[in-house]
Amino acid sequence: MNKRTTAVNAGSFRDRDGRVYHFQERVFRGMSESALRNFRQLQEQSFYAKLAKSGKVIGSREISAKENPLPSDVKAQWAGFLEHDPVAVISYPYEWTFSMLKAAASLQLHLVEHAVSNGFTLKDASPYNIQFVNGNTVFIDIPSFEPLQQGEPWSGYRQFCEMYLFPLFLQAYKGCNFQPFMRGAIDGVDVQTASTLFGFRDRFRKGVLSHVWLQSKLDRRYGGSSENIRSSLKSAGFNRELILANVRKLQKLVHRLGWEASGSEWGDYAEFHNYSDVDHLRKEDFVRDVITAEKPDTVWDIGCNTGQFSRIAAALCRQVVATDIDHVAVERLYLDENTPGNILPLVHNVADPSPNWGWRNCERSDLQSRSRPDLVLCLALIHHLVISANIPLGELIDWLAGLTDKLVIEYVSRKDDKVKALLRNKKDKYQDYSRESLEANLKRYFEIRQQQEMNNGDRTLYSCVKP
Amino acid sequence: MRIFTTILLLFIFSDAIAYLDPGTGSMLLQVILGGVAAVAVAIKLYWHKLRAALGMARKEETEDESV
Repeated sequence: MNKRTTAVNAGSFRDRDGRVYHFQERVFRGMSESALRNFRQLQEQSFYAKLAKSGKVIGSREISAKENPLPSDVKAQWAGFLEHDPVAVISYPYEWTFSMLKAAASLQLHLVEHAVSNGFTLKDASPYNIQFVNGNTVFIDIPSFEPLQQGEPWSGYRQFCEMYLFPLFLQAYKGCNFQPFMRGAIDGVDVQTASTLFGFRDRFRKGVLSHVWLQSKLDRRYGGSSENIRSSLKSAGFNRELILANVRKLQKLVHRLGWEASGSEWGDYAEFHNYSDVDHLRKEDFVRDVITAEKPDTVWDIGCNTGQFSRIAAALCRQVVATDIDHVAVERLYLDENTPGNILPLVHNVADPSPNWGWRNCERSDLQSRSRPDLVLCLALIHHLVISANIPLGELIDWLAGLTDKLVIEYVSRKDDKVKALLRNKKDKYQDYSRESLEANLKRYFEIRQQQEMNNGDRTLYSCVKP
Repeated sequence: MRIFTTILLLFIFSDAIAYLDPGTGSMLLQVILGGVAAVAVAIKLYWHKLRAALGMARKEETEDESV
């Protein structure tokens, strides 16, 4: 995105009452007349003031035409504009861990509860409207708040099930990673799919009978009904107490959901790393010295495991994006109460990364469109990418060079136990995997500033900077 | 209590298989999930339908439902 021009947020088209625009580092939202009226009304509510003060909703203020730097043709499209506090790095539910999605679900329900108790509602329930700022969940879609009409049910309930509850059920009850489901369908796990995924025995698990089975039955029975259910419910006396009863039960249900993270290949890596304590300290010192010298603003730690080196980086820069393929390791990093707020932990596989997808393939974007690293840590990773994921070493370095100007990369030799284990059941066609080949490839783009031998030369750290 | 409201709701409206209206079943489910407070609503929904079926509904009531 060219930061000097105005860019329409490609993912903000669904609600016709508003649109998000980016200008330089600032975020604006064009609002229709009714959305603007709702916002003004919302601002007067004490419950909203409390939410804003506690940081649970993104800082937002209405701006005058004079204060608004957007082009006049954009301004002319809307009745008014809000400016929102920017979010450092936008992340998506399919990059979150179980507990991150659970935290987002809890915030969504908290907002509905407070809104409905005060005569408002939220018209949708999408986890894409929640972001992580300094380690905390923040709701960013302010126009989602609307005055609650009398007799109106909670219109976001079904979406809540499909985008929060069913993915959480999948992880908690089936031990199945929910991220591929969320990345496979932009609207989440639909009711009918959920009812086929959860079998007869699952109906005895908390919440499955009503939210999955019964919802699918009612959906099949009345999905094509020509009845105006909204008005029938209204005339039968549907009221906000019913919404609140449902929301409070959902809060309890979500709170109780747990995932016993198990079967992780890497979750214990930090405890069982196969180099000596002396070498380990050397590695920490090397990373610390490079970051101190290079002063990056944003660091990506690719293959972060439980975040040992992310923490070193976090103390020395503004933002760390810590990614790993392993859900359990990232979950540990997120749940560790000592994890600094400027680390954003994400489940992300370099060999199968978040794509550009959704409407026009730009509703949701890849990670590098949402964050640009000034420095990348790529520690104890390349043997996995080259040998396990079959990525040619040259292409891997091409990609890293396109991503960053500064790189700390670790070479793990073929004598190392990890590499031996990866090659044990494979035909060794990885002639490109050698120290000489790595150095030659790095030198195509970078200057190798420093290097550090470890484990009697079985592992080598390189600090590389583009000339 | 929930079973009672569920049974009522499953028999309120005629079965229909057409294109999928994403919210209808989910809206009705919210009555069941509303617990004790929802029983009166479920009975009233059923009562309206019964009266309409027997041609006993007041004019404004049927009009209101067809909005």
